[in-house]
Amino acid sequence: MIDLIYKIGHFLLITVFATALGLLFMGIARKIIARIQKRYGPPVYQPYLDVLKLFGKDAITHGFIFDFGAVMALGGVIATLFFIPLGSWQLYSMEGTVLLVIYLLAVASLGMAMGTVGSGNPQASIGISRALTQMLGYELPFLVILFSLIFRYQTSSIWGLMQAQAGSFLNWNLFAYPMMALVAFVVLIGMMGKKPFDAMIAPSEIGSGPVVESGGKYLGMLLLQKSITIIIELALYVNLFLGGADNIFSFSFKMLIVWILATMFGSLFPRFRIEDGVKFFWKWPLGIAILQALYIII
Amino acid sequence: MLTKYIFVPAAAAFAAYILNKKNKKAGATITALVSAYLLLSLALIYGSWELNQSFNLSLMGYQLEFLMALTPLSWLFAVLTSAISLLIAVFSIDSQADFKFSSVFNLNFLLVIGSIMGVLFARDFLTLFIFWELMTWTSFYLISSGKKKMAGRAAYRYLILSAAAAYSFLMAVIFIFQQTGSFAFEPAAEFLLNNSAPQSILLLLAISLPFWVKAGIFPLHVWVKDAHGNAPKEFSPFLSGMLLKVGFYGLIVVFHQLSFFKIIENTIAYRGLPLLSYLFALLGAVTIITGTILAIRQEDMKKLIAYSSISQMGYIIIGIAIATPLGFSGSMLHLMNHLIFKSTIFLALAAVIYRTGTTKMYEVGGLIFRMPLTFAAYLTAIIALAGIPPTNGFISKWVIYQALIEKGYLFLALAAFFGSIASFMYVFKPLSTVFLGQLKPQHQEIKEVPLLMKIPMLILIGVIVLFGVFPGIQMNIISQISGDLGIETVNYSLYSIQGAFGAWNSLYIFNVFAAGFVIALLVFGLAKKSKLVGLLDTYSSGEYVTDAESYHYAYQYYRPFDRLFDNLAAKSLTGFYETLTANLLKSGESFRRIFAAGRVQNYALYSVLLFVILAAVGWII
Amino acid sequence: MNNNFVKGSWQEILDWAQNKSINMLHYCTGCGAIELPPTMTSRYDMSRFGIGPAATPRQADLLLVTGYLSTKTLRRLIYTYEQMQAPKFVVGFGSCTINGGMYWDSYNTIKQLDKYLPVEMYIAGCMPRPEAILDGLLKLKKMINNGEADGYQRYQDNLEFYHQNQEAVLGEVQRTQ
Repeated sequence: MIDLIYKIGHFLLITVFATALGLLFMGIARKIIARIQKRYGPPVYQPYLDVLKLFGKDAITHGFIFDFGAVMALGGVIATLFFIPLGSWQLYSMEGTVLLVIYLLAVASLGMAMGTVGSGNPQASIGISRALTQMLGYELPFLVILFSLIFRYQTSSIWGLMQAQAGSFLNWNLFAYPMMALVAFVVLIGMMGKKPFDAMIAPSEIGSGPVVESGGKYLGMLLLQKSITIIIELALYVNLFLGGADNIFSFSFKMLIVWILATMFGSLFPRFRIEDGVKFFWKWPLGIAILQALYIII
Repeated sequence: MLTKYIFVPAAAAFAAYILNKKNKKAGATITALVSAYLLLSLALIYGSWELNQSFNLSLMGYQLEFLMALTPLSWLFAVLTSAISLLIAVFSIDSQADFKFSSVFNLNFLLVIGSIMGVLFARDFLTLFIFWELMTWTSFYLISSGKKKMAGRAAYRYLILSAAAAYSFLMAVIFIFQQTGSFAFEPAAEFLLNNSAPQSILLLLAISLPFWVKAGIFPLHVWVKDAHGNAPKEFSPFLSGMLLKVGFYGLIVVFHQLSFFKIIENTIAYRGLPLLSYLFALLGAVTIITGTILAIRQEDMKKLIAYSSISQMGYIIIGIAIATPLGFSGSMLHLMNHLIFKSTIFLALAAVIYRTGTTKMYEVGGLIFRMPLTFAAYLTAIIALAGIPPTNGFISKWVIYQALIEKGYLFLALAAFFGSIASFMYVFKPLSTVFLGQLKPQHQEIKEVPLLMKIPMLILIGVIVLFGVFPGIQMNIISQISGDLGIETVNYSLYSIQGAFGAWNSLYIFNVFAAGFVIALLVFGLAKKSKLVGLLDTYSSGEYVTDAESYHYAYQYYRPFDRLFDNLAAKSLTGFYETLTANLLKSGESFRRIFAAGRVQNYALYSVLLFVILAAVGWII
Repeated sequence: MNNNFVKGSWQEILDWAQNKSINMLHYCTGCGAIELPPTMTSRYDMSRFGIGPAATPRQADLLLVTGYLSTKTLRRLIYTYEQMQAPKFVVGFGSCTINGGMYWDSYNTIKQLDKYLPVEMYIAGCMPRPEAILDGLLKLKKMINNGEADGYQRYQDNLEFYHQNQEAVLGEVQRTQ
């Protein structure tokens, strides 16, 4: 019983921590983008206020699938979160996690896609069709990278891959396989839907695509989902390429560095058309990833 | 006794045919009862692997021996066949009115079941060939009985390919018979092992050709789309779920029991895999990619799922070809899981077609509000197909990935990853366009399907989740099969599987999922209640929407993606085969013009020439 | 602690959050829209007050009517307003929304926005400079924080009145609710 309560408490603690950190990161990103554009920018705590406001607002729903989609989106990312080591802090460790995480993230995407298409708005469908196409673009190089990492270190657990880079910082995959880290960074930008790859949420073109019908608590839940997703993706990158960390503070710091870099890169580029984005991913990141993988397996 | 599995369905087939003339529902009911009986009696003989039977027949001086035996592999396939036909038969009881000739459908369906049983228990080439042909012909009639105009043509393509492959099979078998004097598998395997390797390989390739055709692997996949798309909607689940898999049964028999893998063991290898096996796996990879890209382009829901079947067959052949313990187990798992989720998908679509009467995805929409259970079945099945945990589809894909990464087969893994990620795209298309989106005005009055159609879907949903949590149930029989075939078994328990780089534990996943969803539900439930509005009340840039039909995004859903492959898709393999046929006809025509132009003098000349040549040959010998 | 107190203070917190975070839907009806880009970009940057753009009415709190409104656009404006989620606010922008401005005698523009939709406040000028816009929005924030911006409640309470006025100019009005 005590064990169960401890576990539930742990669940909640991790969820709250990741949400809070993710929202903070989003605030930081808005500030950074503002500064790049020579603006003052909103306060760093702005996303917290947004979430609070959204949960206080009225909302409309388009039927049960709309509700179910929002729950599935948030539930999916929370479930994924429990498999990611944050520093030395991990709830569930399983040896096959790294492939699992990719597919668990898909649960959230599917939930969001289903809910939003369930609203009957064609703009949402267009956004989802773009998002799924782009996903095929960036997941392919990323999975090839995972292939080479798993083959190189003979383990498919995130924890194991992190441990394999222990010792000096020169063991980090960032320095051991810099090309791979670069590809993963581009993939990360694509995963987070940042600027060159944000055709699926194009606000002025298709009314922000997948979230076009979400208002009030639905948008709030999707905002929470977004913040946790950011943490998952950053944590994955830090664990795989920056050697993880011993404690949650240095881990958060590493995540912050990656996030700031990704934000800066993201605010520099105009938008790719969707097929050009896919073409780009299959040309450069995938090509480099395959070369790197060939180098590792031979 | 094993013969009863063949003769009970065969006898019932004719009973069903006669009774169905009296009562429209009798045929399907008999099919269901027979399948249930087969399932039950198969369950009773589980484990008695020494069961066998033989007949002797003396024909024109040849002593022919018909051998039948039960192996774990054939037991598994037989159980899958009878289980899926039971569900389909129950499903089809209420939809008999949709058939042109419903008695013929039931007759043929039972005959297909019986002949598949014959194929599975056969231990010699002759029995195998007889039942294989019977299966091909009866399924040909089933496919051509579809209501669509194209059904006949599609079935014809299927028949031509199968027949051509069957001749190659027959020739190789007769060659072996000449050498060994027996049709049985064991002497043949022995002969092939001791024969010169190139000849044995050639013979075995010829023998395996019908199985490649049936499994729908890359250059021979052209029949699958049209056959699936045009077959009666009740038969499509069986076609995709079971009939394709019988091809894999044959391939496993050729590879392991006829010792194909032993013969090529010492040939040139790439990363420890004989080049020929690698070639097979590469064919699988190409199958995955072609099937996937073409599936994304389809506008017809059954054809889309048919292409998805082709691509999923690629995974199975990859696992079988690399033949590591993990690869084989992954393949067998995927084979079973594909049967389960693909028949669920086809049944759900059959329910949609039953109610709406169309297979074009852009002609329907928003059906979730009218057919929620059908939607639930489709959703569960596509989650499994896309390989999203915690369903059974993820486990099998995970095991196959482990097998590929273990050996470092980069390009095979690349194709597998591609097929898996792209499957999100093509399974989401029917979800979005058929079940979600705007409900068409003409479909406002549609109701959920009747109870007898709901039951099979509900059972299949349960099975998907059950095997998603307890893969050990499947691994139990798979380990017996691999033990029987002499492959090392994988470590497993009821809810975990040991991979190459770590274990899979589905209980963990299930717990975590429950926790995540409970938290999300709490967040959702604690917030303010929301107000329900209609589907037409959406953001449309301030414009009023009155016409649901034109407010549904369905046609060419992935146009940007399709644009990348327009050039490739234009050069379809079907076109290649059609050119081949046309050229063949043309050359036949010129051949006819030279040799059979209708001039008696020419014929006289030919016969004289033939006589002279024959005499010369006879004299020389 | 009685229930009303809890409810009241919770509402106060929400009002405070609302005033700090406003997503605005700028309905670019007239020439006033051109004043918004400088207000949003680096010269004046309204995002430092927590005011940002929204893509769709579902996500928006503030409807900014930027300039003259022809009767044809009024129809769309009403539709858009009804799609927004409460609490929602309307701000009239420029003299055209107050009294018709230079279109005071036009046959096809409406003269007084608050006859058709509950306007919280007007920002006068033709056109109002970005400073004026920011000043107006800051006042709106203060109103929201004090719970004085209750246009959506007024709309519900006087539904009859608004509908009558709307139908007087437009004839039949298709509604979402």
